[in-house]
Amino acid sequence: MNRREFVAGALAAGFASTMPLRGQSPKPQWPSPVMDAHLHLRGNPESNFEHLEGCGAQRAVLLTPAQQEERAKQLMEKYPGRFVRSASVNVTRPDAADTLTKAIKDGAVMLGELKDHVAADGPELKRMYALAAELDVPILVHFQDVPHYAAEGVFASGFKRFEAILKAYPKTKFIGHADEFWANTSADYAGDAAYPVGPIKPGGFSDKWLSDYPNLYADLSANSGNNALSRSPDFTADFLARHQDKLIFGSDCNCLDGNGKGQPSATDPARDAPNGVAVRLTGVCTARSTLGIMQKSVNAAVFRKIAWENGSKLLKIA
Amino acid sequence: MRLVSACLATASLGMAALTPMARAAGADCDRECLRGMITQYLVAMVAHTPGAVPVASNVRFTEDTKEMKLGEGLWKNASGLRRYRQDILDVRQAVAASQVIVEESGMPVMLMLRLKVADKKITEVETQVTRSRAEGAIFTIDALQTARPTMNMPPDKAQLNKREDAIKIAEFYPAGLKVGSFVEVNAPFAADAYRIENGTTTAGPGCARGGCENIKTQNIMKHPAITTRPVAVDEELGIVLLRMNFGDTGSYGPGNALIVWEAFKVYGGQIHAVEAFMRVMPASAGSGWD
Repeated sequence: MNRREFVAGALAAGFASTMPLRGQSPKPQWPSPVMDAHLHLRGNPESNFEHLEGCGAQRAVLLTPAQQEERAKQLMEKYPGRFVRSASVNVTRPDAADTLTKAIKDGAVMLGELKDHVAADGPELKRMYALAAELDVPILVHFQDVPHYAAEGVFASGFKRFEAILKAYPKTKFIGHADEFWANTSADYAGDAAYPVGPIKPGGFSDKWLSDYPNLYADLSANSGNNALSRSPDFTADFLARHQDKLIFGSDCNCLDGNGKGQPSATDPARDAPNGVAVRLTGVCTARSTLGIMQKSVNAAVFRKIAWENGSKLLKIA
Repeated sequence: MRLVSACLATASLGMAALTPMARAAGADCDRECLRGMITQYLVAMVAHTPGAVPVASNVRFTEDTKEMKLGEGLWKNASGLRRYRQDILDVRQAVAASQVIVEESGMPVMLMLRLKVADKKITEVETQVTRSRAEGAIFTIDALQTARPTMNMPPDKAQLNKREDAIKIAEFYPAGLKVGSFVEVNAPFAADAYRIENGTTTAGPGCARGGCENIKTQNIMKHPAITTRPVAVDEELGIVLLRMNFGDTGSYGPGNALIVWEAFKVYGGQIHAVEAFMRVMPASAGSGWD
């Protein structure tokens, strides 16, 4: 399939399937086509398609562990034009670079999501940063310095030192993601909560680095991205406008149907913990929530860039 | 009033749970004796009357691994007791342990308490206090209102595991942490097993993030330096209490480790619940009782 066929397929799918599936609320209509740049390949791949349809997106990047790429390929073949795939590995493996190189040459469009218990500026990820530049594909990294539970550990730790990496790898296109990236949109982040609350204080590292470094992009996915966009409406509108050419919509949503099915309900008093899923996402599809915030915060042209154009351009699929 | 009702509630629970087995094993200090030791300790602490605690002349007291005089540490500003109190009573070893929410200058803190009793006198007092998210990594203290029924339900006698077996079953947990997989060690979790850490449900039904509904398959990292000490076994309720030093995994600041007092509900050969009070401390600090 060439680029034109891919785009045509995705757009056709988006505007043809406006009828809600049984049991769902109506499929939302967004101001532009939507690409979900952060949709993990699921145990039941059909759920990926159901989520795509349910949240009103036209295409998605399947975040795919290298050993599961055949499953991703099958889904891509079944739904032409709706999916592309990335490639991820455990970066501590000696054959990590070889495996990723093979996956990219076989059609994967991005390295990631790389989520390992290593330092953001450690040798394992430095090797991947160089590889991404060599292969000329973006690299998506999960930055997390606060564990959500006791035995979880941290991932790509030491985000506050990441500016040196941005300088050292100018040809690498980084996609920032996850708790630490989004918590650091606020200048007063104390590093003690995965999902800080309260108004954002302008001047955080992430915001500054998006302005200062042309090789840094960000995906808006997950509770972390949604949380950052939910803290200060005025800041959000300004942030989205200022970085309109560098932000990419993604969901990282766990709901089954793009309409909140399977999301936790408010039954457990401990559920709304600072490190858990926020009340605002209870029973809600993260994709719908984040797209809704975007829709309220920016005009249609900016929405289109973030929801469709930036990711497509960066991943060279549009 | 709050203190009185808490004590009455725990006392009535204890009376109902008392069995001939416990009385026989605890010739010196049975379940109610142990429970009473905890109550006396807590009452004296909030009253700032350490002299009211029935201690042996050689009693030793630590808070957060540091040796102190009884009356120091949390004692200084303890101002009340909240309703949450989970006792683990080990009659055979004469150990009374409890996870308690205490008020310090009006603010709730998590107190992990271990008392060793001999001749109806307290000889050892080991405590850990967690006051904030910075100290505990997780700190959802307002969710800890009352002890959970799951932990306090006495299993059928036929379902209770022998003491040694219960410890072995609980120790699958640190074994899984060591290698970074509960699946790899085939930890015997019940299908609906849950885990609560400093008040947050972090695994099992009610857990709020993807991949955490099943405690056994939840992603965990390797903890190669983890150390474990069995603290107490409540043979009547089927609870095993382990103190674990997770070791420095680079997750909690340079040189730090999570010190976790984890209570495991064990019966029928399975782990049904895991409830932890934990605090970040230097990995090399020792426990104060090594």
